[in-house]
Amino acid sequence: MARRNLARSTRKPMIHIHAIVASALRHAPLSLVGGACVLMILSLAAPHMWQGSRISVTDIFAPIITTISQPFHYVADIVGGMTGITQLKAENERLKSENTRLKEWYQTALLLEAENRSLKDVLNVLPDPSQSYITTRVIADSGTSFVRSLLVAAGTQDGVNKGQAVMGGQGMIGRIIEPGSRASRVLLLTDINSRVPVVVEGANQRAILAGNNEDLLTLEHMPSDSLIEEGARIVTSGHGGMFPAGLPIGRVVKNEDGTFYVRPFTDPNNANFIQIIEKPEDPHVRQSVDALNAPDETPARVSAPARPSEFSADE
Amino acid sequence: MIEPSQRIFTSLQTGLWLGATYLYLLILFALNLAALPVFLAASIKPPFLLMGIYFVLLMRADLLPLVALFMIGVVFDLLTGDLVGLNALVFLLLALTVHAQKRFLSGQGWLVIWAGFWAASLAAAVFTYLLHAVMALSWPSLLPFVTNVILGGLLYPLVVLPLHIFLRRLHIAKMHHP
Repeated sequence: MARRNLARSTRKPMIHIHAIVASALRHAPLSLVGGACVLMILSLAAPHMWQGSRISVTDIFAPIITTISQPFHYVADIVGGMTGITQLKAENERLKSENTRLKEWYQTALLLEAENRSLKDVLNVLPDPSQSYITTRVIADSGTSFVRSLLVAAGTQDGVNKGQAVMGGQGMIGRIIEPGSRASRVLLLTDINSRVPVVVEGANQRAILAGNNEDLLTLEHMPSDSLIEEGARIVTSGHGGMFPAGLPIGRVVKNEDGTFYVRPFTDPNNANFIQIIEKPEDPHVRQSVDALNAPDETPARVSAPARPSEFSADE
Repeated sequence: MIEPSQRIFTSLQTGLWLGATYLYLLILFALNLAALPVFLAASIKPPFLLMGIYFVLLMRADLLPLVALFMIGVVFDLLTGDLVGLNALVFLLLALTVHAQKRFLSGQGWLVIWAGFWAASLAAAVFTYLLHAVMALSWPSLLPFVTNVILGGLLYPLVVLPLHIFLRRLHIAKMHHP
């Protein structure tokens, strides 16, 4: 009797599991559709939840995508080379004249650089941190016009970090949002979620550059009486410390209705190679931390205001 | 009575054409993501993967079970940076629609199947477009949306031709070794 009861009690959970599996299989289409809907809602509510999964999947698929797109790049290079021969002469002439013009500008730039350096020395200005770049190839895009992002063939193994600015041939095109170990995702300036603090050169007007999934970018948080002219250059302001100041982005264009837009210097859709700007060490921060860590020979300028209590763990 | 050597040969053939079908689907998957050096390729890209899935669902739905479609969709969404679950939902709805219409579609000629893809592609694009419009609270540009649907429809026969060959060969191999 006891054995029979034991057998019944051990069999019961099996019956339940069978019932659940059978029910799930019977309702598989509905379960999966429901699952997809739940994923979408979760993705909307907490997009950061998927960051780890996105990075892992990107790392796995990046070599496959690179391999499959390789023949297309090869054919494009051949076609480009063949058609390029006919345009080579005209291009050569244009480059020669441009080179002559740039040589003149180079001399001017050298003069200005020397003058700028001597003026900074006089004013005792701390030098800006130097920047270095990582150049890499674009391996994939989002594949849809609703999301503007790129996958590039460089990751944390190569020194890529989240938030680094990404430059195209002539200007900034986006920033790193998901660095994987071998590949990273770049959020383009044209994406609807992109916001970058900028300055309008000439007017010296600060603004936020926003993407809208279109080719032209919009300037937000501008005062109504700002004096912006068509053709003014837009560069990063460096506010917030996310990007270095002065990275070129684009030029102001005026719409027919009088509103201003920004046309990027580089069309991110056609970028094959990009440069990732490595975040420089800020010499100001480094000096302060070094000063705090130094025990006795701390310079007076740092220790004098009796600030250490602000940094102590007790308070 | 089939000889063992012939049985092995037929099994190998079946495996080969099955592998070719899945490999081709993987290529279509990657083509939808790869940064192709083609003019405007980033914003205008035909739905290669949708074409392959629609064709396989019509011809051999057993090769793409619903769970596999769900997984393909989720991975695709993770790679594109789009809403996770969006393409999974699109592929599942496509599979359920094709399954519901299979009796009608299986007896039809090539033109009707092609028209069916136009309808499926348009429905998927409209669904995606409306969802993104709601998310962004504005109407996204119509040009890439319309271009993708038209280009996808026009390229469909060309893109699914290898799949047609692979599935036909697979069918022949299966007939010899049921």
